[in-house]
Amino acid sequence: MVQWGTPVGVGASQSIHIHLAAIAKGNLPQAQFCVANEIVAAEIGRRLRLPIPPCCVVVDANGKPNFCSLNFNLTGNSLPPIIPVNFAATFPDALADILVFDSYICNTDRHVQNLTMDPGPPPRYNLFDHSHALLGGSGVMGTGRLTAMQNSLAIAGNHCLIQQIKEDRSFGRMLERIESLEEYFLTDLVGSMADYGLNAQEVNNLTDFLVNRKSMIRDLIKNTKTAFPGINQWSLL
Amino acid sequence: MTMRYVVVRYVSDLTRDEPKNIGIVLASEKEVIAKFVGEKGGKLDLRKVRSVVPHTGTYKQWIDYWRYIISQHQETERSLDQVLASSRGNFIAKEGETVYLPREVAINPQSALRHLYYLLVEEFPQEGQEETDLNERCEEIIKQYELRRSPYFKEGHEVEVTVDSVVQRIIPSYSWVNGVEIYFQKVSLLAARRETTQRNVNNAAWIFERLKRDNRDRQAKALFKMTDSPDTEESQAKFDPMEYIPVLKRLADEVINVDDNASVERTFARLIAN
Repeated sequence: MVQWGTPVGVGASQSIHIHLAAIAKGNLPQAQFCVANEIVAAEIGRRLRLPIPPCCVVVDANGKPNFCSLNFNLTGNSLPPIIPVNFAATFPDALADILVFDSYICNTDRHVQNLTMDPGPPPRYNLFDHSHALLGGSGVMGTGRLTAMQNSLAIAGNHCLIQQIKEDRSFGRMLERIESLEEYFLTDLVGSMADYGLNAQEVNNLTDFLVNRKSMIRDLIKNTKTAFPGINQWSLL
Repeated sequence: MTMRYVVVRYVSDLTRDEPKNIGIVLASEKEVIAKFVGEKGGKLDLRKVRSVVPHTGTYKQWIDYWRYIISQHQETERSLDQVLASSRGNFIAKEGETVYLPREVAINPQSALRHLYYLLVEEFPQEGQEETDLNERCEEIIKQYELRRSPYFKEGHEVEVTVDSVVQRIIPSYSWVNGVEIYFQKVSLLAARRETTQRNVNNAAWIFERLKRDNRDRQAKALFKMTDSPDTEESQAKFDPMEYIPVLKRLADEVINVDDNASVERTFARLIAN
């Protein structure tokens, strides 16, 4: 997974060439927003300090852009899907972070296979595969999906961790982080997706959607409390 | 009668793509049962795994995940489908090929699982495997504590004892003679073979008794390993070999389970420190 190469040979910091493994995926006729969804979700997630692997876009010989995510299995061994109850016990503080983030990016596809955990020590987890978030990956896609998701929590009933959260106070941290995302960051990030398959209308709609939604998430959760069956008493929202 | 099963495999190098079978998950009419490399008596011994899957931490996580799927109360077919769907990277699950089992094996799901496991994953166990397991574990301990580097440590050393004016020569498994004489005797306790266990315990008891009667200052220690025989029908009545532990305790100064790392550490770290 990691190949150490030769020294760069210039500069005082003794830099070395290195090869790191990554996983790539491109747009498909049936998943035309894959690259944009992945890049926007990953950039926002990393901005929020969620453990999403570093990523970039690599254009292949045919000019096709590919979303590339650093392969975080540095031991060379694939990790299994998570066991939700074990995940919740190991990362109690992460539950709310992930739920709020997935709600913000309208990720309706957070299942046990696109989360991994390494019990450590120290324990770590990774979030990946956001190709079905934002503009969608199946069914209604693009601007139509954004319209459909506007007043929806998006994660009710289909999120692998939603049963595990037992209190609402921990929502506060990620809500504050999302509410404070800068407009310039979102505008610039989504704007750059014009290179990866989004037309001008889609860029505008997705930008507006994300800018508006960041201030709506708190109320969406507050108004959909029944979606969190493990929370018996609400104290923050 | 047909039973569906899944073979789980590990691919150490994805480029070479040479999978090794590491377990069987079998669905009977009523339940899903499984056996994976390193599992014995309901516990996972990662030392047995290392030669197949070097990253044992990840292996344990996979076993935990497959066991979690199996433990969910759902249709057996669905459990198998979920195991199949969990395939990822180095760890893959594959629908089992048709295998014709002997009738006496096929009528009992546990027997069928064991048969498939030894057919597809490990070799069928040989008679006396339990002795090999205990010897291997003792060898690990000897290496871990570098006992052979000490002049006080002896293996298969003959001891002359005189009991009731009769001189006898006995050979305990190991000895440590450094002012104090300490003798260790290996004892295999096999859940499914009462006769063998009884013979092993009696042999150890006889050695301990002779050593102590000749010289009460000698210390006698039993190194035992519990083995759950893999080739025995679950339905066959087993006995609890732990019932022999009090016998050993009455004659030995210490009874050490070689699979209990804390006990091993207590005994051998103290030994080499003195």
